[in-house]
Formats: sequence, C-alpha cells, structure tokens
Amino acid sequence: MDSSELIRTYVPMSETAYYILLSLLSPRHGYAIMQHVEELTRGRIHLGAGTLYGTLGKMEKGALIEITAEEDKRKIYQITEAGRTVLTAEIARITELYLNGKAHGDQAKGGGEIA
Amino acid sequence: MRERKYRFKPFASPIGCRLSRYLERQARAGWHLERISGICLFTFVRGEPRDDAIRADFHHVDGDTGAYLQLFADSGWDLICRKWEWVGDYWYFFRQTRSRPGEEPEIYSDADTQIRLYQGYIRFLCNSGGLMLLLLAVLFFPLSLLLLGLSPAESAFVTACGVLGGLASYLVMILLTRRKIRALRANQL
Repeated sequence: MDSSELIRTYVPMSETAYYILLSLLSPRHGYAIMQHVEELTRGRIHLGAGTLYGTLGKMEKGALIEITAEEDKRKIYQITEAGRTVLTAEIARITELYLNGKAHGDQAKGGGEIA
Repeated sequence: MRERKYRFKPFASPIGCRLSRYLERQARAGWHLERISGICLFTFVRGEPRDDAIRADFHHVDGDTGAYLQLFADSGWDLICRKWEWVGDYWYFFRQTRSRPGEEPEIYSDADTQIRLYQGYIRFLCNSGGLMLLLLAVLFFPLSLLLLGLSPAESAFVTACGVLGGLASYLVMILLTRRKIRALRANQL
C-alpha cells in the first residue's frame, strides 16, 4: 500500500487505535501499552484486554505494527513505517479538530449567539 | 471433598450480560463456576462469597493463545474455564474480584471492538451452522433407527425435527447477537 492508500484506509481511527499507535512509538508489550495509555489520559482510558488484543491483531495484520521480540509469552510490539505514516496523518487531522474546537469553544459553552 | 452443584443451562448465551450477571450472583452466594462440560452443564464449587466481575470472550485457539491468556492475566483477569463451541472455538470465562463495590471492569472498553467481537461470533455461527446441522442429521437418523427401533419414515421425521430445532436455535442466536450490535450502535453519533 502506498501512503495515500494507507491514510484512506486507516484515517480517521478510533481513540483506542490512536493511543495504541502512540504507545508503540517505543517498543512495548500488551500490558505496558495499557499502563501507558492510562498514564497519558490520566486514568480516563482503561483499555480492556479483549479490546487491546483484537486491535493489536488487526494492526499487525495491516502491518502498522510488528513484533520485535517475545519475552515469556509476552509479545513486544513496535510501530512500523506504515504505522508512522498513518499516525502522522491522524495527528494532523486531530490538530485540525483541536484548532477548530478551540476557536469555537466559547460559543459551545453557551451564550447562544447566532452567527 | 468440596461441595459441588450442577446446573443444566442449554439456553445460556454469553452474548450480552445476562449470563455474566447470573454467574456473579452465584459467586456472591459462594458458588463459584468451576467448569462448563459439553455445551451446557455448569459445575459450581462451594467457597467463600466473592464480589466477582465475570466476563466471557470468544476466542479461536491458535499459536497465539498463550499470549492471549497472558495479556488477560497481566490485566488482572483469572481464567475460570472455557465453553466449547466448535473445533478450536471457545468462549473463555474470566473473573476478577471487584476492588470496590459497583466497579465494572470490562474486557471490551469501546463499542467498536465489542461490535467486532459480536460480528465475529455471527460469522462463526454462519460458518459452523451448516456443518453442525448436517452432523446432527447424520447422527439422529441411524440412532433413532437402531436405538429407538423406529421405522425409516419415523426416523426421518425425528431427524427433520432435530435439524429444524437446531436451525431455529442458530437463527435465534444470530438474531440475538444482531440485536446486541444494533443496541451498541444506536447510541453512536
């Protein structure tokens, strides 16, 4: 897949997928991903084991991540070049969401102004 | 010798939360699920009452199952037992004692992956269903002919009833699972 096809296929992605890819910028095993995501979101997102297992399997199949080592029964995953391409595009999309949200934030809170 | 009790639950489905709630009620009363034999005989063993969260996950056994169970163990889920569905396909039952009352630890933390699990289960039902019904017919016909001493016409009738019953239960399972998927999607924006 070339990069535009990758982006068309995987962007936008779920919050779960986004945080897993972010975590895998450094090599981590499954449970370490859970802990890292919980830390990043200050406890807001607690990834379920089934959710994580299923998403890792799908990402590995799509070659967005790869297994770099195996310790006991724990597989260590890391993001691939394809994964970085997808993640970079997703970050750009989220930045746009954020900037637009920020510009409209006060209006959303109330006031009921008609534009 | 530990005290045990047995419950025959042919219509218990791990889809949705009814079965989980039932098993959790049993655990709070001091009856802990020990194993599920065949497809529907539940064995409970007597113990201390425990406020457990109990969840089921559908999993196909492959070379990755060790890593799968390790991930669940790492995140605090103890494997209780598994329920056979088909060659290599099981519902795995996990438990975790709640750290505070009312806490609901989940193995699926977002709707998308929960939906994917249910879709996978429907795919499995569709794939295995035909073969299962064929197997049922192949078993029913000679058994009713030889063991029950029925005439071929009567045997064929019994077999047809068995197959239709099997088909109906497959359809009910598929519809039930689809309803759960729709319910999960209804609240998504």
